[in-house]
Amino acid sequence: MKAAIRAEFRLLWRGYVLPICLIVCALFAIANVVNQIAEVHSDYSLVQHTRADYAANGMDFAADLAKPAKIVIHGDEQTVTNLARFDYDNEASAIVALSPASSVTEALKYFGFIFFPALFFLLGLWMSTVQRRYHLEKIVIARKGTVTTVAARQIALLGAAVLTIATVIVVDLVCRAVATAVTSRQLPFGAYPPLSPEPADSPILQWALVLLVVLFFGGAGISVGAALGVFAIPAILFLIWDLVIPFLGPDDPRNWFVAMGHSVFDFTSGFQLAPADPLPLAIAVGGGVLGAAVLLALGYLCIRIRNPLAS
Amino acid sequence: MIEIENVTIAVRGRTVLENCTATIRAATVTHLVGANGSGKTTLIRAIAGIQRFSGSIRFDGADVARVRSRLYVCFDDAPVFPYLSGYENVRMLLGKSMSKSTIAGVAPSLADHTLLKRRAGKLSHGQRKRVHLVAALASRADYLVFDEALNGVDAPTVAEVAAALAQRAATATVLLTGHHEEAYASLNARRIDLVDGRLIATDDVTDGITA
Repeated sequence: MKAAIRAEFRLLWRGYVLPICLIVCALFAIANVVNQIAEVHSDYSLVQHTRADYAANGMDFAADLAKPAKIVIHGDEQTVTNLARFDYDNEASAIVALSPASSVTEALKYFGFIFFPALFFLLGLWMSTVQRRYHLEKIVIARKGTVTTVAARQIALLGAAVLTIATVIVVDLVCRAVATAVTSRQLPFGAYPPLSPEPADSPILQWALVLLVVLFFGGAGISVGAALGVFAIPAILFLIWDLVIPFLGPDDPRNWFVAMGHSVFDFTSGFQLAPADPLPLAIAVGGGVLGAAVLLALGYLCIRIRNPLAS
Repeated sequence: MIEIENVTIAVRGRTVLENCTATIRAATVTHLVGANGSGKTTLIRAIAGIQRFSGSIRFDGADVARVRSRLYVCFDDAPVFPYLSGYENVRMLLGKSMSKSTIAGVAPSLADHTLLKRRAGKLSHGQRKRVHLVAALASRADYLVFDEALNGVDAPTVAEVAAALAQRAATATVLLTGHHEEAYASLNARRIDLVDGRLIATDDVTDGITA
């Protein structure tokens, strides 16, 4: 099994698929930090603008800062009653999000819901079809059987996920350290300590959710590849479904993950995830976990259907 | 020993092989002969466990699932992963780690270092065939099955493969298809003919009886 996993990983690496993924993810990680820098600057400008408005209207900015902001939502409209504190909180959150200490959470929430589903589906699909494209699968299956072949692909995909996430976090961490050092010279970060309590993070739940995303979409890619044996058409259809078509209702698998995402990540600063169609969290979690289990098992079933004797 | 018993194979509704029975003896090279389209590759796919069939194929009494790591099947199309070197393709085909010296040691002039260190995408069909022959010999499998093993291979290599197979046949069950009669004759290969979807062993009628 170890050799089979190593062979799958070697195909990913030497086929240039994994290096390209790492480079693309690193570029997106840099872009995410650049966006965060822009947000810090724009929130800072807003605070200065609001402070000037307060002064022009004879209002006490410092007094309002001491009171919490009130946000009232009427349908699609959001009304803010204490603009001074609201803008200050946004700037304080943006500064916290830019710091290296926020790197893991910010990277996971940025990549976990838009890039990773597409990335790991495509990786799984590629792994599941490349040997057939080069007519190698019959030899590999004849020697290893279907169970070892699919298990090796799933484990190698997990390895690729670990490497990708590690790369993203390292790049993100370095960028945030540099960005904080540079931006703190341009703006008075020390004047914006957080006044409102930061939302409590649960790193275990965040990592568990990202693992579920990898297993669900990676498993789907491996299963679809085993069933259809071709890369291009399923890849295009998936990308259209994932990135173009809006949610098809609360039971759309993408909605399950967005609903879970909103329950374990705070999206008030940095990357903003679209809101989920309302559904009970238990259904989202159940659907995600059960779906991942079914999709992982389907990989074994599909390859056996195509190779009926190679158990 | 590979025992093929009452094997019938239909592909897309057409019966390719019907009630084939034969024994591929251990420590012997067996040459499966048949015209183009007679079903040799289909039978080899069944032996490899990747073709549906009725009947039974046993490897010293065991099912194919139990002998996978001891079986190596070399297909005619000699597929390789183009981005890997010849050495890496051998390792991938065998699914195990092997040093370059071990790979090169199985057939020193066949496992040419200049050939095996090149990217497989740049190799000709005959060279890719050599990579597969090296993999087959390096596998140390108990059951070696070659489909058109020597097609596209140059004359000196044919002689060398024949010599290497003669050596391996002392401890393995070897089945080959192909039309290199002279090379196989030098191996004292036992011949089984595939005629009209049935197997006929010319040297031993009790083995090759067709139903």
